[in-house]
Amino acid sequence: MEEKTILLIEDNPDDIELTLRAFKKNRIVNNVVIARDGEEALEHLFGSNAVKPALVLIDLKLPKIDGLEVLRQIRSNEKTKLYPVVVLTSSTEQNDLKAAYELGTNSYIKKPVNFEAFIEAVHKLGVYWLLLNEPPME
Amino acid sequence: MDIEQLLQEYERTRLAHLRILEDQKITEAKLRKSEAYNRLLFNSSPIGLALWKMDGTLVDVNPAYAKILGRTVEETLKLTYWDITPKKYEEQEKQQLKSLEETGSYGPYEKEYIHKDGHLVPVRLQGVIFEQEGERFILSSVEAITDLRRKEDELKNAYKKTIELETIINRSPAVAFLWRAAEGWPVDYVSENIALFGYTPAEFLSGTLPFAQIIYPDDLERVRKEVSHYSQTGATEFEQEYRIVTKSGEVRWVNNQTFVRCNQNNEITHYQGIVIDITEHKIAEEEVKKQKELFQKIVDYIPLMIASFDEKGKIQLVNHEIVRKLGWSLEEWQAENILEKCYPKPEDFKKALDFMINKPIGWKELKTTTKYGTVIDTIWTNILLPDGLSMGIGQDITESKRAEEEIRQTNEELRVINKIISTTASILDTKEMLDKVLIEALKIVGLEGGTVCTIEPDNTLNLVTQRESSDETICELTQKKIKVGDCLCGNCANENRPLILRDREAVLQYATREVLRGENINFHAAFPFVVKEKSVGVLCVFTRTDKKPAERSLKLLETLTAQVALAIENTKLYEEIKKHSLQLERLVSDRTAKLQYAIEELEAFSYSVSHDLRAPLRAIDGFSLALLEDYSDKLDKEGKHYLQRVRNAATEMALLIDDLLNLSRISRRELKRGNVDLSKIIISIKDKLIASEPGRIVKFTIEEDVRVEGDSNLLKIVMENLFSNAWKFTSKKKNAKIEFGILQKEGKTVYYIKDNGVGFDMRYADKLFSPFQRLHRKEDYPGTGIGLATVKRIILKHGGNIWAESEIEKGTTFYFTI
Repeated sequence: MEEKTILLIEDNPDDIELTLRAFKKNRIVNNVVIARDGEEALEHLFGSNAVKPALVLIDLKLPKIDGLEVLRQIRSNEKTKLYPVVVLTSSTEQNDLKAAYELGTNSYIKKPVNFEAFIEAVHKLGVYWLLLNEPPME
Repeated sequence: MDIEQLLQEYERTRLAHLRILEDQKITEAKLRKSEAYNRLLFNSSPIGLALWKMDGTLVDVNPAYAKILGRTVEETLKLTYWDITPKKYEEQEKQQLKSLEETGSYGPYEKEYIHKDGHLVPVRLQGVIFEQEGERFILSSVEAITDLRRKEDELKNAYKKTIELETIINRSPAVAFLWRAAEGWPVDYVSENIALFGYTPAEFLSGTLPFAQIIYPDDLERVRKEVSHYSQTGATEFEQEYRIVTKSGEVRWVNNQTFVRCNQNNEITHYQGIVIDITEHKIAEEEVKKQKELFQKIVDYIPLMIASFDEKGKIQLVNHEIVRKLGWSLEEWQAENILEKCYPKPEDFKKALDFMINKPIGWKELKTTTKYGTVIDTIWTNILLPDGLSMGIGQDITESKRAEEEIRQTNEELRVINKIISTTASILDTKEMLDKVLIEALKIVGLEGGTVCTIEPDNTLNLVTQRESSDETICELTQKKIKVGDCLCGNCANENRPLILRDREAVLQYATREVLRGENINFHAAFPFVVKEKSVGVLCVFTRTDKKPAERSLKLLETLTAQVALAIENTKLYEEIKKHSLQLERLVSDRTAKLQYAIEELEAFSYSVSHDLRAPLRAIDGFSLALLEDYSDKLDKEGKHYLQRVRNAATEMALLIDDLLNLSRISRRELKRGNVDLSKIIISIKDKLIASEPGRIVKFTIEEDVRVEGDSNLLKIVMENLFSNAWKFTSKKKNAKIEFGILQKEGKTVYYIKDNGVGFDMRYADKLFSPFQRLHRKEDYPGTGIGLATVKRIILKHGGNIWAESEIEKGTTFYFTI
């Protein structure tokens, strides 16, 4: 599990901290790369020091370039198109859901307000994507 | 031989016959008195008589007999029968004698006697045999058939005919009379057919009924005078018509043909006549006469021209109407070739004559020139009459032609106006429309010049469009603000009626301004556009040529301008409406933009709420929990309690946010209508509710197979809200019941969800469906207070309605329609 990097694209520092706490609570010790806006996310994905994340967690509402655009670029790039991407967001707007799936998100998870529920969600997420799910070989 | 001749012949014979009869009567009477009657008779007989012995010896002859033989009686008595009979008759004579022996008589037959000088005398003879003193004798009567023979034959034939005719006459309607020329005309002879009038011949012949008595008294005097007149003037025959009274008293008309008979002294002794009943004929004649008069009257007074003409087209008769219409009298028609005057052009005359002679079927229209030189439209037909004449019947159709033309013209004008109006009506720009009107107006009057001005509120003219106006006039009208009345069209606008100046003089009278005086206008007509009794503009047409438009076309312009005035009014109204509607449109788009902006704002806001409002809540809850977990040793019980309260509030707020988002989402969402099985949705909701609290016992009654048209997802939200409410508010009841059903109210299907829960005070019923309104304390019955607001919004979106009935502690029923 250690080698697998998680790319967390999230602008809200509270959410970043709480997410990291949730990882810790669930004993997810993977390397977590944090991008605080869309531009930074793209830099991490396509830049010179690009990471190859085992899981991309992406919030939709981001400064500069929004989450859906980042997702679109991931899916349209040969190198990144097979990355598992999970939308982790507060929005339950049907438009957002539909757009995310159309752009090829692997999953869409609403961040629960209740932190216990959030921890539970992150736990399931980690188990599923980092343990159970088999990504294709490069 | 026609009946006339036959009758004359008959008359002649008859007269002769009657004369003979009469003469004989007289002679006989005289001779009977004489003793020497026989001898005298024998000797004086004009017929030859001879008495023979059977052997042919002559016993006695009378002078007439001897005369036939050219001898004396004495000479004759010396001869025997055979002496005077030529040889060629011997055989015949023997036959006659044989006949005499057998029958006692012979003849009459014809033979010849030998005259004294040797020639043969043709004779007719007959005889009888008689006995005297034991000896048989032959008495022959002989007549010489000399020059008279033929005449006698004819007489004889005529006599035969007389008999025949008498039969005919007795059977015919002609009654034969012989009247004596005496007072009352006693009748000497009347034929049997007097029975036709109910009388018998005897009544007349007995002398008791003179003819005058049967003449109708009113006619008697006239008949008398006529008879006496004819008699005095020496007429041999005359004809009368008068009435007679039949035996039964009936009055009949008769025709009487009378022949006058005189004696040797030329004194009228008798009238002989034929009386024929002509009553029927007379009646028929009267009828014919009446009909003829009627026909004549009809022909004279019928408002049709009637003429009769021969095969060559020569006029024989014309009726009053022809004289009246065409002017020529009958005498003129007969004296001259009027037809040529009626059709002065040779080709027209030929056409008319052809039509009269060939008589094609049908009517022909001809322009006919009258005596007065006027030309009238006529229509003619010809009828062939039986006697080779023809009758032409004609009608003056000038008036109807004119009326027809009038109608045609009116129609044409209406068509023109209609066309102009319909084309101009679609033009909503005043200037463009008026220009079109001017073009059409000039077409109608056939002039080259025209202007259209509108009248401004300050009563000045504003030139809208023009044709052939001089530059000076255009300049004046566009720049100098010419007042209404200072122009050729002025008075027309002031008085609201057309002003037509028909010549230069009239134009100059109105052309007050110098410019106009120099325009050389020879005709100028101005027509106002009158709207609500006020001129709003003027149409003028004019010419510098000598053309004068027809009065009719000027009238047409008057009609046109009246219509155009309405169009101007319409255009003005339209322009106003257009202005208003533009304003309105601007206002609407303005508002729409604002509304659109508001909606966008709202959407952005909702999005922000959903996204950003929850993040802090998560932080509040997350860090509160972190505190509780990581710093529980530094917090006392109360501190931990407060942190728990912070967390609860955060969760509460998250719920509120979700509900609010739902509500706003529903408002914005489009309905997706389809067939929805409400019963099925409710059953699944019921199952979920039971599963959420397995310990509760609630009696559900759900109407089966209730289907509605609507948005399945939204109706599911409605049902979830209503059933979870019912579930919630019956939580403290022991025998909880929840029912779903339908009922009919005022022709509408009403759905209801009924519970026997805590119910609510109906005083607050109006608050029930407003957001954040709660009728129960949160501690008793949790909830955000948004559920029913959402329900109502969905129902209203479906075009339905929802209301509730409730009683505290008894339960609540929600009704809705869709």
